Amino acid sequence: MTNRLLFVEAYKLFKRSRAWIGPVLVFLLIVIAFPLTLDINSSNPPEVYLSFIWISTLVVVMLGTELIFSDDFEDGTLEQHIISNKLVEVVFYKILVHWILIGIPLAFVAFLFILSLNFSYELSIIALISLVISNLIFINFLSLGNSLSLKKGSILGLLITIPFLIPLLILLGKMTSAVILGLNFLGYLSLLVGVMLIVSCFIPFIISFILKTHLE
Amino acid sequence: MIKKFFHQFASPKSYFDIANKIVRPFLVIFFLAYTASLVWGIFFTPPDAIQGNSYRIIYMHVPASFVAQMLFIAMAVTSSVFLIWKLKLAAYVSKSIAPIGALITFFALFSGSVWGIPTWGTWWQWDARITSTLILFIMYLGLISLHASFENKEKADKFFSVLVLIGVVNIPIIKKSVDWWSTLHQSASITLTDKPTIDPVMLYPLLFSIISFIGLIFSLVILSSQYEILKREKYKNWVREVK
Repeated sequence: MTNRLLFVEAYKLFKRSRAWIGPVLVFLLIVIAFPLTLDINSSNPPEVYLSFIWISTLVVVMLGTELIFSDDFEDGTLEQHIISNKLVEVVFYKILVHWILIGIPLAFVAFLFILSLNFSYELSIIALISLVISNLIFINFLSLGNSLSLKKGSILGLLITIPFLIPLLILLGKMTSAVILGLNFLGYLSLLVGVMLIVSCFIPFIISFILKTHLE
Repeated sequence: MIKKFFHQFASPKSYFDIANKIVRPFLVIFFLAYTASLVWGIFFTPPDAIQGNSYRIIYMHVPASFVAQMLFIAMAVTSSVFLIWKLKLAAYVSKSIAPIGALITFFALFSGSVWGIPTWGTWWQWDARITSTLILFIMYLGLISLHASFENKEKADKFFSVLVLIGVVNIPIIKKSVDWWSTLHQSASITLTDKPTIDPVMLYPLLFSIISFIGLIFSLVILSSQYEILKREKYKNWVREVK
């Protein structure tokens, strides 16, 4: 039964191909635009490119999760899930599906961009892993924001949830500077994984509380 | 007995009546006290050895930045009271704290900038405590716009309270992580655990100004929560009799 719900969510997102191909293409365009506005041959430190990648993924993930609940909210599917007491599961699956179809492709596009800049092998791999993990955290928080601002556009959600993501951005910056300086980065990486686990355990409950309040 | 008092006090009408009696004397007393502390700090203390006279803005900056954080915690307490016991009054108070908090946070940032020009030579520095205060300011603005964006105010109260609770968990994390990032601002001179690192001549007016500023903001919160009650309960009979 649970696998069936996951399959339904995956199919619903996959059928709306604009919703998951669109963000990746927008991200690709931003990535193309970035070297055009910056002299790529001058020796910029790698942190510049990485911070640009994180902030643009944050915004693109916001675009990708904008409609995460609104279709189900309008056609009454969410009410059915509340009645059958499966709302938390469904929210968790939705986030998971968005991570697989939007978060991971974004991370790989960013990885290709990083490979083209000839950074060290270790830094590129760490950047890929941290992008995959941090995209799940971004999707969790931004779907929280989008569940609050259902049918009101995503600016409000972004305004509320970006302050919560600032510690994460600082953590990512610390981790890459540790990799660049050749220090031990495993502590930062395990902290990142821990944040991911905590966030993806608690956020579905908060989102389902918010959605229930919307439907009262 | 205590339970009965609690329930009576928690109804908006009796809260309004009690608040109506105390709010004007409180405002006058604490306004005078804060003015007195400013006069004491500005005219009756010696100039600082290094900063000269420019340090005197401490009597506005420190109370404001203290109250800015305190108001968020107060908002979290009233929000959790609202979510646990479903008291409407708590939500009204919580909502009326947010604009005052935003204003005070902005004042703390502004007075800090003014103080920064003569002492650090710059009005802004990407430093830990300044940045976390700026994030606090944006969080207040986000909460206000969240509450304003809902037509149904009962839903808005619930969302507001949940977000305040998530925010109050995040504030220490933001503060710690930003400290970890970089810091230029001096650490706090007055803490609960250690001996203060500030001379008593300046310490006493500072403590006096902090206490009287807290009182002033407390009475402002009461006043604005009264306004909120009148706005939200305008169709009740007792509000029509208030005039």
